[in-house]
Amino acid sequence: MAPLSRLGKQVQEVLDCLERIGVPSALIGGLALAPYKVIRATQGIDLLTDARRADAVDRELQALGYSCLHRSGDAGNYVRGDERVDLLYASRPAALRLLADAKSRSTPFGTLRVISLEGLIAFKLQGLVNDPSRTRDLEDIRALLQMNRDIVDLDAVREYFRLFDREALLDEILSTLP
Amino acid sequence: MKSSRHYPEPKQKLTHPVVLFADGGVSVPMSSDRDPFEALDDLMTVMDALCPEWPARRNFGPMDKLRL
Repeated sequence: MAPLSRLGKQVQEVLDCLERIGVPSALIGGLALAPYKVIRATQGIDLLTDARRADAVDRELQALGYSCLHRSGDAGNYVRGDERVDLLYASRPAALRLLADAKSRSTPFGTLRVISLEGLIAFKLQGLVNDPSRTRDLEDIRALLQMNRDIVDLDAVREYFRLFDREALLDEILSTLP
Repeated sequence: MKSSRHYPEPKQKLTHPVVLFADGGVSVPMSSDRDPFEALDDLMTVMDALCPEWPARRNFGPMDKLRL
């Protein structure tokens, strides 16, 4: 088997560590696009974890050599050299449900959990709504809908867009998909 | 200044545009028999070679509309 990329090794190390202390986590962000047929280069790891375990995750990441750049009740940013781990802490019912429902996958990096397609779109939308300059999120949403048009639960997706008062944006995206 | 170099005319006119750079607006469907994370890792291996040091990543920006 070919050696893993730097990102692959980083994913393996971080997820092994969270597994060892029994902290549930799920991939979100660029890495989570892969099982939904959208492959793009990505930098760092974005994870959804349980807010109640944030202190334990903080200790473990620091033990791996990461420094905390920022931490709030909702999110944490960690860095080790040029490697990043960014965390969103699930505390509201929607995020806790998405975390609980994340499916396990066997990958070259080990077994890991990935958020649902609709949940991933929802987190991308949340990122875009909070920071409209994150146009990459919009492109990801478009690509996810395009590549998964036969399997995506559009009612669930629409519900998330409604949650952020962006139903018109969903209609616009759907009307322009090739 | 105009170049004096002459390029031969193609014998046949191309019926489709030539893509001069990767991902130039062209969608390439993923092979269905490949593990997607393996494909991603291959891509990242190439990225490692091209970009041995990753640029600084942005922190999360404003987060006043967290509803999930």
